Amino acid sequence: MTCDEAEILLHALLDGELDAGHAREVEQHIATCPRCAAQLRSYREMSNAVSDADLHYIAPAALRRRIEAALPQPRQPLPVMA
Amino acid sequence: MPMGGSGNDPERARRFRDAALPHLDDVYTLARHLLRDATDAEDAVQECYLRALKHFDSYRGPAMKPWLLAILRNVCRAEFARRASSATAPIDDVPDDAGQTPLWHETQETPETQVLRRRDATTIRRLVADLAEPFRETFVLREIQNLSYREIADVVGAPVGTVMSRLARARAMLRAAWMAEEEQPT
Repeated sequence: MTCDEAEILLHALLDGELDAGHAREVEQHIATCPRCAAQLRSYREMSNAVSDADLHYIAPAALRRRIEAALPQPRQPLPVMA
Repeated sequence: MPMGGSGNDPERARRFRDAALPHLDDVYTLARHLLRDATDAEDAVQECYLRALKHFDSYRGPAMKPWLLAILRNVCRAEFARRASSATAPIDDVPDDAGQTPLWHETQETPETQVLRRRDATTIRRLVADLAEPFRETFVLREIQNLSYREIADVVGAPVGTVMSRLARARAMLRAAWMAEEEQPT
């Protein structure tokens, strides 16, 4: 495997998207290529840092209420007539 | 005004609520990253849920979350188009081959992993926001929404190979920006 081929596939390795055969090929390349090995370490660290930073947002309560209110509501029981 | 859809069936609404509302934070998160504006994001999410309810009867999968994210993405594309036509904000959708950043950009003498760890959440959020749109979108779907490549491909309507190359570009650009900040502190 060349560095050009590894360029894309190391991301798939990082993301667990490779089957066993392709993963082995990339790992064999990385074992013999310090440059690609450094790239993989670097991207793994960046991925961990992004994960630690937690870039999720919480939907505002008002937005949730607006969406809830816009849904058809369950039928209210009819008032009991005396 | 209640959302329309096919009839005002409360049972259908209950099924929709149970299936779709647990993903509200994820949908809102993608909207915030795509539109980079809290008010626009809220409007887009509300429109997304309105459309989702309308088409809920035809929903046969895939998983609910990617389905909602795909609808949200379409809503955001319409917003991009509106912004472009109003010319109040530049559209930053660039073709995949624009602004080539070398993937093998070798730079720093400093131990890179230390540099990467040093970034705080606010800086990381800003660096992600600065990525051009198709790369930011793919990056967020993978790194924040944890979708598989197949799911991302379905959401953005592109082949898996395109997803892979966009993700590689996104990470390379983010890493370059990350390292550039270290070299030129503001």
